[in-house]
Amino acid sequence: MMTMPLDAETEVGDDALLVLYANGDARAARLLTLRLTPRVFAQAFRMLGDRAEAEDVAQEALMRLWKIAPEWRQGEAKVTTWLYRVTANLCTDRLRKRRSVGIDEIPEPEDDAVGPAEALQDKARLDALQAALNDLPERQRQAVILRHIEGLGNPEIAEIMEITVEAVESLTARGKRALAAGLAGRKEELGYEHG
Amino acid sequence: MNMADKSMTERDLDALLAAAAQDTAQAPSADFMARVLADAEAMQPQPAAIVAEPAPRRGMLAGIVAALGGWPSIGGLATATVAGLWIGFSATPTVLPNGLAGLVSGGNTDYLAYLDTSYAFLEEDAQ
Repeated sequence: MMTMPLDAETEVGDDALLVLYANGDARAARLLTLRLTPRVFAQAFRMLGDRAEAEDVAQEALMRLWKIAPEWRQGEAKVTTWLYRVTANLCTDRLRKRRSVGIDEIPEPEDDAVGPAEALQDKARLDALQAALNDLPERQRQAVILRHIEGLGNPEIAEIMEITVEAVESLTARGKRALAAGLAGRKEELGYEHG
Repeated sequence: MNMADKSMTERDLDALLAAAAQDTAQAPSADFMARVLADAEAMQPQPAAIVAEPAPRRGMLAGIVAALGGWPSIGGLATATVAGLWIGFSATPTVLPNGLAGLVSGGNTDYLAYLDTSYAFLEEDAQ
């Protein structure tokens, strides 16, 4: 993993960095990459459940950001909101293509880690969660990921998904109910004995 | 056993989602980060000449010349000045019947008195 020193530069806003980037500042290119790539990649990974595809989508979303940088108007939209929306749309396109290709093409969650029993159970739980996320209707999955994985507030999710805050609340509530039901069959296997 | 018993508790689900948010599986690899940075650098606009070429320092004379329209104008101005001087000298017999000599030699007192009566005392002193 690349690390970034916690210096004053981390206080500079994304949009200011984007302006610096457009002016040819090499440090801005590095800082934006370090700051934004993990967020975009995580969103795409959870949406698609596949690293290689998530990398393609994240790379494409960021390419679009680099391209639009010279025309970026400061204060008009949050860079991350714009980027989450682009990523969401690219994921939707991918999922649509998959549906037209056939359900067999959906990659299974990766299972290549070996470790102590506890780590295995954690991994099994996370894999089960990913499988349950993959089964959610796309809009519910989007809302749950932005709310619970990316940790965004409902107003920002509403902006990203171009729906009302109430619609976001409804999507996340239904999404979570569906996740809980989806994981129900594996409750004991995953070590959730109570409840 | 009803449906609520079968599904996961909300607390367990929230804990699982929180664990997923911290999961390193969703962290991009260093290779991928390097690829994104390479894109960023390749697509970055080249820096504009941030420091403009310094303007040459100008002295006061150069400033005046520039204000008057540059050296070509100054040439015209010099010609006009010389011509004016020549006309001034050559025209004196017409304007001053006694020429320049008449101004600086005899009749000074008359001339001063003519300009202003307050100079009349000079005429008296002279006599």
